Amino acid sequence: MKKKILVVEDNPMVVKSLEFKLNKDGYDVVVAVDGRVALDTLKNNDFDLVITDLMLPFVTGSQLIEHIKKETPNTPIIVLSTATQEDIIMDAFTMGVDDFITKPFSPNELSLRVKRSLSKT
Amino acid sequence: MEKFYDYIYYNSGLEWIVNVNILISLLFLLLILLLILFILYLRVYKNLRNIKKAEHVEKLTDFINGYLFDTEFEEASIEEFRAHHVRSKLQKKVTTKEILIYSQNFKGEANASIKKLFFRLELDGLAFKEIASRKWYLRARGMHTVSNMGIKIQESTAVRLLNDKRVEVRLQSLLYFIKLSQKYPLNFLYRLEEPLTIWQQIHIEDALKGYKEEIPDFSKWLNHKQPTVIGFCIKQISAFDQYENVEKVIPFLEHPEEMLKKEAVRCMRKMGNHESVDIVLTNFASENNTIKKEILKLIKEVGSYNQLQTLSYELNGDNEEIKIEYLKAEEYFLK
Repeated sequence: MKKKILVVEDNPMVVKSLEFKLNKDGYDVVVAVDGRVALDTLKNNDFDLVITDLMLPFVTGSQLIEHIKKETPNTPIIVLSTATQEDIIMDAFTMGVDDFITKPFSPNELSLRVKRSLSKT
Repeated sequence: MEKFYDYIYYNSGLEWIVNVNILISLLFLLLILLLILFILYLRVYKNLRNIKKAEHVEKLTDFINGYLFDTEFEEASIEEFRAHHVRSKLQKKVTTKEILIYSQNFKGEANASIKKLFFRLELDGLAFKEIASRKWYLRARGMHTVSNMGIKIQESTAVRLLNDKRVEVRLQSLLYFIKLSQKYPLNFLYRLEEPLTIWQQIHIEDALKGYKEEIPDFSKWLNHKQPTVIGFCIKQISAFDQYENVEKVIPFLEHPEEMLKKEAVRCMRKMGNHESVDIVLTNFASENNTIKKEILKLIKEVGSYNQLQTLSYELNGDNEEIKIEYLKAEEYFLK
């Protein structure tokens, strides 16, 4: 059965590319364009992995991570963000994210990191 | 209509002035109608253009994603896509914009591939046309495109745009020089004749953060004819801890230009230069409030309590700001 990934990102170009790339890699991809949609999607679905941005409309990436870690602590989370400040990255790892990728990113590298995160579950 | 006209002018039995008023009112009504029609036309035109753009972006995104990630992607389809979907000016403009977004979000192999695609779709031609345009926003856009795609343009053109009358074009041009210069990213400063705005300075600082080669020696531009360039270089000397240049900054502590003097005092404070305190104390009384505050901060951080006390007469003055700054420094020493 295909692994299911939730991509939470508000940049349409990044969303489309990730969707395309991850579909090609053999995953089922569900997209949420903001934090609120992501929370709604998480209510009714189970995901094997979540890829999220930190700066999101309505509900921030940090709030979303907190929610996921509370409800489904075993779901791996990869943060994909433009933030490069050490404190933001440290905070994300403290909250329990599995990986942190900074933009601009390499799609091939992301693909490998997704594979690695999923192999741990 | 003709009957109506005749009625107004010959048979209405109204005063001529009333007739003229009716005529002018009708004229204005007609103008308003025309204006409404024009606005409606513009709305429809804009909406149709946006629909066309959205359709093109949709096709383009699918094409680019296929090009980047689909292993079965056929090279021949690039030529086909170019011939069918990158023909009009609008299509070329939208395609360039999308490719720039991709290139800003991706690095590594994907970034290199997207740049290759830019050339294969022959979009460089549009960028060159924009650079040569008489419209400032097209020149700025053209420079933005070439600098992000790593396209070298003629040196003389780049220098001309570096000193363009529009600040937006100048900003894109200096970013072009920084991005495309491998060894000497700030050499464009020698050719800069216009002032360096704060916004431009922020962009240069940001570009230098990611610069992997040796940071340039900022003292090279301390005799520049633009004071804003000198001020920027003094700031960078302290930002990059270029202690070997402190001696060259010291003369600016007595410079007649307030901005340069302020930057020099700040630089001395950040670099912990003790010798500078005596120099600034000499002229303290004649300085304005901004400089006085900077000097008091300098004394607090690198000077001594005795040096501060030589300015105690300031406590008897009327200036509250300076008194507060003095007391802050005193509190620091007496803690």
